[in-house]
Amino acid sequence: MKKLPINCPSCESPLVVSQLSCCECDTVISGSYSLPVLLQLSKEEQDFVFEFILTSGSLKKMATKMEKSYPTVRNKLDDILEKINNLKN
Amino acid sequence: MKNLLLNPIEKYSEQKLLPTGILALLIGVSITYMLKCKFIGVLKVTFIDNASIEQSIFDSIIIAGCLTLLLLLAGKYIYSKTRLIDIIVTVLIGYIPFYLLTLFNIKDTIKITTEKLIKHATPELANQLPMDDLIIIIIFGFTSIFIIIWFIILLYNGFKTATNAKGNKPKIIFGIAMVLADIISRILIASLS
Repeated sequence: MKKLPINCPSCESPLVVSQLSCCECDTVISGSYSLPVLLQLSKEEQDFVFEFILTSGSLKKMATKMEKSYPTVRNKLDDILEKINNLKN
Repeated sequence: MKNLLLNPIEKYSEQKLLPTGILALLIGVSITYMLKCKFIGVLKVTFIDNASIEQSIFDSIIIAGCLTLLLLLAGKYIYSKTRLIDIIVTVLIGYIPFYLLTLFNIKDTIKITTEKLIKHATPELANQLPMDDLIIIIIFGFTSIFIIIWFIILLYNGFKTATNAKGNKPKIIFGIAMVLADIISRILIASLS
């Protein structure tokens, strides 16, 4: 699966969606749309959030699955929360 | 392997580390008693003539208790979600290297060697220092430094994981907590022994 770039490879600025297209009828919509906050996270962070949902928000289960300790997983979640809050503001 | 030696708290759960830490404490107290060592502060171990198992248990509880309490207060100040269990595990695991240091006193080696060297600590006898004793003390000195550094790294890494610490401020708070724990434990051990 191709990795969605979220920052400009040239100047590191956040990228925006400028074109959407329909694979069925080739309709193309152009404009400037911001990426949703979750898509602005790194691939690793998105995977973490995905796992968090799959384990019903249980950090203990996640720690077991990731073979890390509870505080390490909790710290990771806190870091992602902080990043999401910064992206929202 | 590096994680296991320097930051086991990052990877291993408290279900594994707590029993390991308690076992290490029990073995450590027994070794301390058998090898006539005495912890008189967080960072200070001496070699004595007569040790008692009650005193060894008491000293270890005071030191581990002071360190846990001070690091927990520091941790709560940095990060409100800091858990007591993570700090207890950090302290118990952190002390494992220190117990290794006491092994130097098998057959009272360090105590006897130190006393022999002290006898030569006069201007007249200074040039007749027994070389083998001097080598033992130098090796012991370097090993002590290595173990103290290892102990502090283990303790700080555990503290850092437990408190999600970032930047320099937590390092300063950790240092203050360590010094305070050392002072308080020394006072308590000296006054209650």
